[in-house]
Amino acid sequence: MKDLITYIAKALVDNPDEVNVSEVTGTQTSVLELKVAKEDLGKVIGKQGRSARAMRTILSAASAKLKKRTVLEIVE
Amino acid sequence: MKQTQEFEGKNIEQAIENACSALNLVKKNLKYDVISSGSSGIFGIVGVKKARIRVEISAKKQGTHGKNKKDGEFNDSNGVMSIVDEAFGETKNIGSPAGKTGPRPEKKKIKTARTKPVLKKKTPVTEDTPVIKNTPVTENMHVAEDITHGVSDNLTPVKNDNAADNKIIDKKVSSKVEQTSIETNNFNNEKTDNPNEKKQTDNTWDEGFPPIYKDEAVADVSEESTVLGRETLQKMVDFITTDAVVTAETKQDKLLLKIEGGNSGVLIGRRGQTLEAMQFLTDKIINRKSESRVRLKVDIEGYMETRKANLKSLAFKMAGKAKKTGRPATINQMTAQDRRIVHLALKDDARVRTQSMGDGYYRRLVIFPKKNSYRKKS
Repeated sequence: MKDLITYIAKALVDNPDEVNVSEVTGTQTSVLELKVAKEDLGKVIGKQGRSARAMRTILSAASAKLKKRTVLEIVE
Repeated sequence: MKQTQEFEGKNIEQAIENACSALNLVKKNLKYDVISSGSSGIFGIVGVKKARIRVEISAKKQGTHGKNKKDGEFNDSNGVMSIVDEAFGETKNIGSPAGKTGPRPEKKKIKTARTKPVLKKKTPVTEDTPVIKNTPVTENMHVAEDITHGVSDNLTPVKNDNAADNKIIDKKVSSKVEQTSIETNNFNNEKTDNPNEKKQTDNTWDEGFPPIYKDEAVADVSEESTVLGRETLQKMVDFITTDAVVTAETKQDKLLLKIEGGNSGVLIGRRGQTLEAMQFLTDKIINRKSESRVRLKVDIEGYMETRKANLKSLAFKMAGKAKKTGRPATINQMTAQDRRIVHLALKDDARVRTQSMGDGYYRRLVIFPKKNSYRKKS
């Protein structure tokens, strides 16, 4: 899961080196925290949160395979 | 005697469509009686009834009891057209029920209709053949022969019409590639039109691909973007499901990525939202760097085609509702592409007007009935 978000986020932003994803795993739900450079924040969120929503959709589809839930948090 | 066959469908329209594709006829040439209009029951669970229609096979055949009806619906040109349809259909799909009537029985049928009402289709061909040859050739027969040989000039529009209809019928079975090429042709003709996608309701752009904007130069998809797009999508897909393969096709500035194999249900998601999310992100990633915009479309095993058909039937249903009630009908929560399909589906309907209202996430499509338009839908 972590790799997926890292890959997508790196492809979206201007400073791929500053992309940082940390995962907090739980039994049922795990939380992904995405950190990007300040100027790239808009890029991962998108207009009306569209990019963020798309990432969350893909994330939920991907975690359905593992029968888990994953929440994506974008951290400022 | 009239031969009849019954067809079923969720609603009458669906049943007609089934009949059309099974008999290889276009809708306007189909003669049918509605046996039951069907009902969706309560919440689509209790009391669901399928719509049933009875279709007359070989409708142009002369029938003494159905004569009045036929005079109304089949004047000369229409009769000819339906023959054209059948003749063309026959050359295209061999083995369908309509394929039984070859060009020769076709001519014979005209003969029967014009000069010898007693003859029936089931009579052996060998008996009739000399009759056809000896009887003075009527004008109508000339036309029919010309059409079957495809040389008549003044009937070319008819043929085009037929081709267009066939396109609709064949849509389900036709390969994506063909479809795309047709769309490309349309697209090239219309690309200088009004670029504002959300407001326009009367464009004739190709459906499915995002529309092009006026100030954008059409540039071919670069090799780089194609590879990047394919890899990106492949990576996303691999996280969601196993052994799915992404293939890429390009046409001018359009890039079509097809996903095959794997668990397509998960890949598409509820109402196609996963598919759309993947398409959106891949589009964004490809177009982030390059200055010329690549128009990307992602398809999973023909899902887009199916959805387009569903949306169109929804559009017609809602338009019918608007016309019947005289009040605007609203379709909620659609993506821009979906709205566009509905706009395009209803642009030829003179009795309704479509408009998108609201902003952003709450944007919705409203179908208005036109009050002072008494013109009958042709």
